[in-house]
Amino acid sequence: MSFCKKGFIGPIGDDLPSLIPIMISLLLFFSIFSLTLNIYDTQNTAIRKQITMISVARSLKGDSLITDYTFFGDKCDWIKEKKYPHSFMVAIYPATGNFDTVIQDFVDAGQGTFSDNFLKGKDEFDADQPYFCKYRKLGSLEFSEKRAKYSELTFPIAVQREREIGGEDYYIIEPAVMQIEVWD
Amino acid sequence: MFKRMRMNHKGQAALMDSIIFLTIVASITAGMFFFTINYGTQTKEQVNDFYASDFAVDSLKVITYINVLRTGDDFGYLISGESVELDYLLALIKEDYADTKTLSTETTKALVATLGATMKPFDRAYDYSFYLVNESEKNFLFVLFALHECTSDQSVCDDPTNPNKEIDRVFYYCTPGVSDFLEKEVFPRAGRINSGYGKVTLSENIGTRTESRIYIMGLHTWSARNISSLQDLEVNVDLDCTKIVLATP
Repeated sequence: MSFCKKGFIGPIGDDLPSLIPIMISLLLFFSIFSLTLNIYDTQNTAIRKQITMISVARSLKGDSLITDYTFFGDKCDWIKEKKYPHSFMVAIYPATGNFDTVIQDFVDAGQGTFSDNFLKGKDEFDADQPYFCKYRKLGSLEFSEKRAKYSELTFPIAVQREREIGGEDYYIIEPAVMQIEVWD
Repeated sequence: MFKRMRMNHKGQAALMDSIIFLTIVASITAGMFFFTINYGTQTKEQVNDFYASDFAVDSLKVITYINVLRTGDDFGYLISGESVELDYLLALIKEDYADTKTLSTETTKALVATLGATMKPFDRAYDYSFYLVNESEKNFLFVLFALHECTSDQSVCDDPTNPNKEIDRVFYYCTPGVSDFLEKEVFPRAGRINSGYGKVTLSENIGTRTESRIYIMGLHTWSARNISSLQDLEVNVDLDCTKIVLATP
């Protein structure tokens, strides 16, 4: 009897060495599982953002020609109705414009201050309006430079606008750039 | 005896079971890990390709819509009161083709300025080529290369640590005729290429009749890099290139 009990610590104590690999297994499994879920979610969000950007851009630019501000404004109102899964802002820059401050321009525009870098068009009241469109998903925060989770894309487009050339006003079609920012 | 053995082996069996369990879990997690790190890569690449082709096709559309001055000058150069004659860039190309089957200096200037403006947001990162090639005869009307070129001393540019090197955007307007230069000498060395194609009908007057030909308009962009076959384009007799530097008003 005493021989049988030699080395016997108890039901748990006896199984202690086998518990260590089990604990390591469970720890390893749940770590990798949470990592998998995390990467899966991050990748899916990134892909969804890209698709949102391309979809918004396609809807807004149509055949890559913006004829006037009203045309752009109508399209903007229309795509806002689609309830995209991400918030987005779209602005048009002149092709020869300044692209060094794009993010700051969007941060300011999100708060209602429009940069002079944005291309402007005349609305139905003949007032200058920046080509800018914003959709904020319900519950989403304002666009901020410090938030890492935003994506951006650029598309070349042609914009028809009234321009003074050689002292006279002309309607001309010029190259421009459509900039899109998408965030959560 | 039997009871004693069972008691002594109980701990070893449990340990063995747990090690087997660990092995199974380790192999499952390894599989899961490799699946995870590759997850979405292909989809992302497809979406990026989708964007890149959208971008190239949009650029081609813009080129066909754009108004330019018939002199080929930038609007910024105009003096108040000067007479202005505007037209579509595509109309200028069609006119030149109908008259001489080559592009005039004015049209070339307008074309380079339009391409430069359209691709400006990507100016620092990309080089590109734009061309019109006859669909049936594979005869190039022109090929336009937009490259980054060292404008300071070559030894300065060769030194990656030298901050004084100046690398500028330079355009080459080439008329190579029938050529497989792009396919053989440029594309294999350019890495990943994003392409957009369009079709345009150009007509020429032959006596009293008009003959139309379909031309393919192509735009290819690639990450800016030194491609040996695109060095010294001006001395390449086969390509017959002229260097154009965009002036800023």
